[in-house]
Amino acid sequence: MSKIFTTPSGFAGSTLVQGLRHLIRLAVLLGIIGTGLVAHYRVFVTKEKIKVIQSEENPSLARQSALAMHQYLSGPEAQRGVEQKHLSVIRGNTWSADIYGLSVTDPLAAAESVATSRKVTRSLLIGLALPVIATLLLGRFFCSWICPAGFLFDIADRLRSLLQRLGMPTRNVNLWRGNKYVLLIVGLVVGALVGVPVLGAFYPPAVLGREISALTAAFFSVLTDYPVVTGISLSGFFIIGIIVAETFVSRRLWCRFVCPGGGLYSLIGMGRLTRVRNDLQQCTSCTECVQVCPMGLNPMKSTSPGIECDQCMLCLNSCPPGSLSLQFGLPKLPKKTDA
Amino acid sequence: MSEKPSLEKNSALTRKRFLKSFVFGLGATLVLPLIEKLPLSAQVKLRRFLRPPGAQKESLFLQNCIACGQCANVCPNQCIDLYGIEAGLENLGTPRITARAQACILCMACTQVCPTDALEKLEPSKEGMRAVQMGLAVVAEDLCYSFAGRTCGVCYRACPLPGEAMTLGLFEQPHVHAEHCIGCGLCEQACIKMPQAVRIIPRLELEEQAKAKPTAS
Repeated sequence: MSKIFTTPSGFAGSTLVQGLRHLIRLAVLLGIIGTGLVAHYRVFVTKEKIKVIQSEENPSLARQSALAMHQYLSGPEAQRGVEQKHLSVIRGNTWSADIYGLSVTDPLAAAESVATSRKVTRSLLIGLALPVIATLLLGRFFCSWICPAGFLFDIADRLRSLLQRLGMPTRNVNLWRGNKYVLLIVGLVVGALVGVPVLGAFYPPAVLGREISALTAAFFSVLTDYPVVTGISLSGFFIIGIIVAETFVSRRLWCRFVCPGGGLYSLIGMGRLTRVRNDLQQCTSCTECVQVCPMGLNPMKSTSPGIECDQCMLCLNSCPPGSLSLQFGLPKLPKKTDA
Repeated sequence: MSEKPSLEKNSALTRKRFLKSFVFGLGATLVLPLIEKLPLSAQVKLRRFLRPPGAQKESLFLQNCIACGQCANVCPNQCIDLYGIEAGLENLGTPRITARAQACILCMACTQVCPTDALEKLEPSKEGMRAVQMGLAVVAEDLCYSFAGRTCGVCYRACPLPGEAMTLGLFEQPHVHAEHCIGCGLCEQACIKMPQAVRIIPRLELEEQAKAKPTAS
């Protein structure tokens, strides 16, 4: 195996890295909430300006708000408010986002769109570039470093360990791991047959994005006089249901056994370059890493924990002899390439 | 009760496991199309919203749209909002425009940001506007002030394609030209009559009407 870079033990799994990981996910979650609020704030500013335009030019025709808005917004770039440009530099959610002109789309969203419409568009490929390359390098890192739903499920994990410390009974149901791949394929096929993307309806990051956008719209309509029309969304109960299930029924029930998006990330990151590896000479087989792994994997294997490892790096810190390390290098090939 | 997870026990692929998972997955994903097939009259009513400009035929739009909500975020006058589950799961999270509350000003910002080209990219110009097909404005002459002899003409002044999509007759009576009307809804928003005399028929409804009467031109 061509090992290029190995993290010094104790660094990658340190509390600093774990703190950074939680911070990134919290920032993503707050960012999604912020984008919705900023979008509505932008409207508020625009409507205030239109009010001024109306009162200056023709006060008698107050009903012509559409005309005034049209004049205001379809004029040359210089006439538009600065906030129009600067307040929409970050938009969308983890399902599909645009950050300072960088388009990012979830591979599951792209896969569904391609399966249902049977065509690949250019903007889809642009949006796919970054997540696919990052997944090829880092594997299923999205689940533990970015996914805002994963952040909430981690809170459920904490609740679970708290309950156990208090002596409350919690069950740990084990399902078959292949469920998520079957669900992924069935979902894509059903979507292609029906002509509507179906997996996005119950993929937690997408559900969370929709729910937050509806809630921010409702929140803003309460704050200001301007009525905001929003759809009725009950998907939040779905997220709460998963959190309850993960607290009482099984640790990381959704991520481990059901999530079709996680399955797709696992498949893309099959030959990833960054892996947790175990030095068998130092390993004492104490199973500490197995206990700590949120995905229920076995990092003690000589090769790597398998394609479902989400690179949360919790196992690195738990290892008493320090035999686990994060290594960057080409995957071990069955051919005899290295002399 | 012990937290120690079983490792190898649950990883093997067996026929029973595969079938169980297959049936579960099929059930979970078929919930959506089955609900869609239920004859809910409320669903039909709630679908009477406009899609953003650049949207293709409804079935094509639904195929492409991944319900990310970027169009709603970027819309400078926030006319776009997202469906909840009230109009069926197939519409969940997809964009809609309520013309009466806030009509589309055809700035085409949403068409530029769509990550899957469910909204075709259009330029904010007259040419770009002419490519839009959101619906069709219909004037109810018995409600319209101008047709009752009280000169109004507000809808004509709101129209982004005046002289093409809408022309004025005697006493500023509006006449919609169906071949040029793009259904943006600015006239519906501007109409000072309540209930409004001019309404937009969404493209979906036009498609359904055309499907019901294929022989009518």
